[in-house]
Amino acid sequence: MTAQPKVSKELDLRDAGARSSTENGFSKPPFLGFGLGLRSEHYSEILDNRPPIDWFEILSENFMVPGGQPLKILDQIRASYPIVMHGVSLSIASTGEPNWDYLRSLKALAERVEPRWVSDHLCWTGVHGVNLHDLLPIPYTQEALGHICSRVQLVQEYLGRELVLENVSTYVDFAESEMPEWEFLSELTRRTGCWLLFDVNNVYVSARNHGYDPVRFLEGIPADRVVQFHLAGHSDMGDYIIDTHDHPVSDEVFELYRKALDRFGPVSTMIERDDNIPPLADLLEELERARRIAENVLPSQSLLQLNDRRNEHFRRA
Amino acid sequence: MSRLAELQSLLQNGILAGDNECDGVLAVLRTGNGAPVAERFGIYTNAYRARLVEIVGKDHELLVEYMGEDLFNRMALEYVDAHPSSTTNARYYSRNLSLFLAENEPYKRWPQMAEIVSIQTALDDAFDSEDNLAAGLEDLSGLAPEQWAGLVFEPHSSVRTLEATTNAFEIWSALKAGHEAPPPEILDTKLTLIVWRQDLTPKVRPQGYEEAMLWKEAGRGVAFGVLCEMAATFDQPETAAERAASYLAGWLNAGLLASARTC
Ligand SMILES: [Fe+2]
Repeated sequence: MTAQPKVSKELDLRDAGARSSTENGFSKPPFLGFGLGLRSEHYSEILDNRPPIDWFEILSENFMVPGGQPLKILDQIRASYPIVMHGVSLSIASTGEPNWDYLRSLKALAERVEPRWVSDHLCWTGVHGVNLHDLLPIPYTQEALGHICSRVQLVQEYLGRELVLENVSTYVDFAESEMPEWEFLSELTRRTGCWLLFDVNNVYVSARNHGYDPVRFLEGIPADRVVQFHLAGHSDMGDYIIDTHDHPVSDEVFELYRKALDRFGPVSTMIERDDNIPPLADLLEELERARRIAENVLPSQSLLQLNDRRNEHFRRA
Repeated sequence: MSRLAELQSLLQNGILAGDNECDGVLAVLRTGNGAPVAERFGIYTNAYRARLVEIVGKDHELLVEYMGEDLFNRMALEYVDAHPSSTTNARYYSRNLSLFLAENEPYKRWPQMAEIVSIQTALDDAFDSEDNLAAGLEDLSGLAPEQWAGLVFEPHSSVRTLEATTNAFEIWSALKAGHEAPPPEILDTKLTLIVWRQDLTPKVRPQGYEEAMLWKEAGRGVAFGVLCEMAATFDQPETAAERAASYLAGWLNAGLLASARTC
């Protein structure tokens, strides 16, 4: 264990070479390969066997606690694996006051974890001091865009890093929306420099729920702004789909993933499972399916570099 | 108020009220494909309650077992309606549950329920409380005999104490061990429970009356010599120092103290 922090530092250096810079001085986060959402059910297996997973995404709020076992385990896992932070309570679209306690705690966690990036969702979770613990939809209007852009800028400035924002699954849309979701996201990333977490399942779910072709969404997003993919399972209720994250990823979502790789190139990919959590081996199998699709779609060069890095990493670990 | 703020208030009120058919909300949503818009908005209103009830149930699995699912679900829904969440971390959502059970009918008629929840809440708080080194017996090894009276103590940051009026600890322990819960009882005298984290493991144990009194005084900065005098007035004076020393050894061995030093 004692030698492991060194490994992650060396990975940092290698990744630095692969970064490309953008006009505002920040650089595009690196392609990390194929990862998983870190879940407590798998802690001991990960720590005992160090399975060959390229990276983990943690749920930020799970570690926004004073101390004890969660942070201790996280310290051990981050010594062996690259980590990205994913939150659910930033409520970036909220018209309430910015929650400075939350932001302070998020920033402190980011300083401790040194994640490759910090993400949350393009949504709001409550106003008037209430948190509904849900990812709620927004109207796609110029007014909302202006408000959210100013919030993203505020948060990016406070955290000293660019945010990565994810499209959510929605079940209703507002009659007064002035543009499609993909146009809203594109404009948001253009104006603020934030990156996008493209949740392939959420695109599929929202497209079905609102009756458009998911490929239109895909093609509406700028090709160079996506830094992460989520793959997840849903529940098909017939008339609509609910984003439940309690099933394996569907064939349709894998098919859309193939098209997404085709458009966005090598983008860090992970499986998001939040309920009905299967053994780690099952998730690794699903992840393997994603990797095989990527091997078919992507130029072999982009994956070769990743393989070198992975082999090196696990030899040392 | 901006239009976005108006829409957010409107939706939030509909969700909190559990009103899928809320006219104001339906008027701003697009109708169209597939299911009726009230049914779609219902996905949010239903998910809101279901999610919070699930959070409370996961935090208090032994209470669910003790109450039975039906009574628990009814109670949890009432809790959700009485306590919209204000925390950004679901981990803290059920922190008012004990008080809710203690204050509201019919649950307050069964005071052991609120106390079972208090025990669990204290354990959960100890589990991820601030990291803080614990003092051990070895920290006192170099102490000269005349220095002991001047020892003062600082409790470990994970420590919480509770006062139970019922046999909730006995019930909680039985449920935890997978046994049948004993019948509820009101105790003749309050029982002090001490909850803390030893290394990474949260723990709970009852304290006898004398130990509880000395622990409380020690936490207020009272020196060991005075604790011995208090023990002497409380019970047999000849063995008072011995008893106090044995409590202290127990505290140090269990990791209950952050420091023990001479002032
Ligand atoms: Fe997602």
